[in-house]
Amino acid sequence: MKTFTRYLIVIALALLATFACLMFGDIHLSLSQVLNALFGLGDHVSTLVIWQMRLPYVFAALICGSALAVSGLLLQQLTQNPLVDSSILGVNAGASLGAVLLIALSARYKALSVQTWLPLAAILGAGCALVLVQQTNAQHDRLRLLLRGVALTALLNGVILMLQLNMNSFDFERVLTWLTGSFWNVDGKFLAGYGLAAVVLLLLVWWFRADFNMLNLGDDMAQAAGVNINRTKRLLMSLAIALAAVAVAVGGAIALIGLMSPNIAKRLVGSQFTTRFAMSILVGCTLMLASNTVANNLFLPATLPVGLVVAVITMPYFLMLLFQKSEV
Amino acid sequence: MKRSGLWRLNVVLLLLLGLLAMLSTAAGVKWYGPLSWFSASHLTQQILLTIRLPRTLAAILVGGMLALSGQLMQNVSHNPIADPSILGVNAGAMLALMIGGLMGLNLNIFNSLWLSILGAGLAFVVVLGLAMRRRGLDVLRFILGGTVVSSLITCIAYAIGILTNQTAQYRNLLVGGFANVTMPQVHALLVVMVILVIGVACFHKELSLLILDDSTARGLGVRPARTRLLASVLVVLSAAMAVAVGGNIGFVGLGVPQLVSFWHPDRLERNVLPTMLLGASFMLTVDILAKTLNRPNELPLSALSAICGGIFLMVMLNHKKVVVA
Repeated sequence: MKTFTRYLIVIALALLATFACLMFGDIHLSLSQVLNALFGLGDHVSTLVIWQMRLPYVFAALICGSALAVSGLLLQQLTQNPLVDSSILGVNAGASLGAVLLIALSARYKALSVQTWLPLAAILGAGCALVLVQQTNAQHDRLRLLLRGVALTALLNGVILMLQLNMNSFDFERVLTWLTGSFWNVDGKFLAGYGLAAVVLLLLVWWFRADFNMLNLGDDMAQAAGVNINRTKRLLMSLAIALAAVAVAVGGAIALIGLMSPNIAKRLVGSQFTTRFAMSILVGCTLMLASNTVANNLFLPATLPVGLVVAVITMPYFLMLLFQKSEV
Repeated sequence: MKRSGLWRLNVVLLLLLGLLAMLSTAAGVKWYGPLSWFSASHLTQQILLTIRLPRTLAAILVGGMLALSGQLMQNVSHNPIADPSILGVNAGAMLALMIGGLMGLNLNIFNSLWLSILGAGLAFVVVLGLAMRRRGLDVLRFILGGTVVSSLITCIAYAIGILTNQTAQYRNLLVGGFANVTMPQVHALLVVMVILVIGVACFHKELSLLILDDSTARGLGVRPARTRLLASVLVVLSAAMAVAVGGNIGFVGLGVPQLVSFWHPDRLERNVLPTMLLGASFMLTVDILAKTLNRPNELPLSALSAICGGIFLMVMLNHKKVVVA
């Protein structure tokens, strides 16, 4: 019952964030205007603003928030380490490097279109990064894993910077907004494709939820309960990579959402994988929507990249979490 | 035996440094052999004196300074992974320089020095404050907290850049490099270097003993808090100076002291000279690479050093039984 009310509260918060996202901006709309426009009864201006300018961003935020949150949840489940997510392990940096490499190459070879090859480049980069971070027995040593992530991120960012400086200033700006995280393309088709991919991946995670939940027991117990540990872990890893790559393709390298959402979810509903999964998605989406609203409104008429706002919100939380852990 | 080993190491490193310094003055957009110092035209001499020489000297001084400050920091934090760039000191200096530039301050050597000292000092105090427990310094908090604060500060710097339409300035700070070093900057570097060396020379015993735990050090007549403060001041001073001249150069302080203590494990005071020599040689090498690999364009020094340092840190975390906490 307690869990149920908490779900209701978070759902209410998510709705609130959605409406805030739809209402505020350069053009301020009232709640009734928003509702009218959504149901096709609004005047010309508000319909245009809602459907063309605001809703795409809401969808992009939903895709990124849910994909990053679940990717973080899976990585935490895989390493049994609550201080991990795709941005800390360098997976986001890897995906960004793939994307930046693609942008650099496409400037030279016109046949390489960024639109078509982007998912592949991001997934390849993310996969390489995760393999590099995970390659040794570092799994048992949590701190060492974090530090490897830090080292890998520094290394990859160095490479990205080298590439960046060989670009013209237009591509430079484009890459920079990418690296700090922002919704760079809100074309309907683009979002629909990635939204579909995200939904399919989330359904896959849901399908295997029982096996993933077993990992909480530790490897030996899970094996005794009849779970094929190696297969499950491989699956977990590939799903985490794919989700992170989807998020990076839509919103660039957004930091620490994947760390924060599963941890908040754990605090709210406990460590049961199934309930935590749904809650993580909700929390991730709420955070992204709220950050998007702040990013678009705090310094009007200038807009900040969403990733910056997310970083400023989430990093203090990470510090707090870190300090609680080291207290034990 | 041990003593002669140290001498041999020093002599080898000194020769290496001399060789690299010669190469550094010779290499560049155009190659000037060592003989052009004496025989060539007025213009060539002018180029060598006002462009090549300051650049070489700055690389040597910054490399030595960063390596020494890295060594001090590792001693203070009892941790081999400490480095000014990891702990947010560089980022703090960068942010201060950026804000100063936006407020219309003329970024000459004096202004940029005090600005970056202010920024670096503030950032370091924040990280240190986060990491301090009643028992003393908590190493895990120090490193990870420093990393997070560092990226937070970088984010803020970028946000300021966007809001004021000054991403070009952000870009310049991000890139770093010794391309535009002038003689006055070299003089300022020299002054800071002298302060650093004098500080280490006067307090070498206390600094060496910091590697012990606090109560043992206290038993040997060292006041740990005061010594730690002194070391921190020296670290902040040299990191700030390095940022003011060369931009955000990281990881020199991480790898170089590690390598020296790998070749020649000894007390801090004996390893000061080889560490500085190796740091200077490393910086010169990277700088030569930066100006020759992609002529006539410069490669970004900060990216090169981050790549070298990142690889080094990965290897270190893989192989050696490094105690991280």
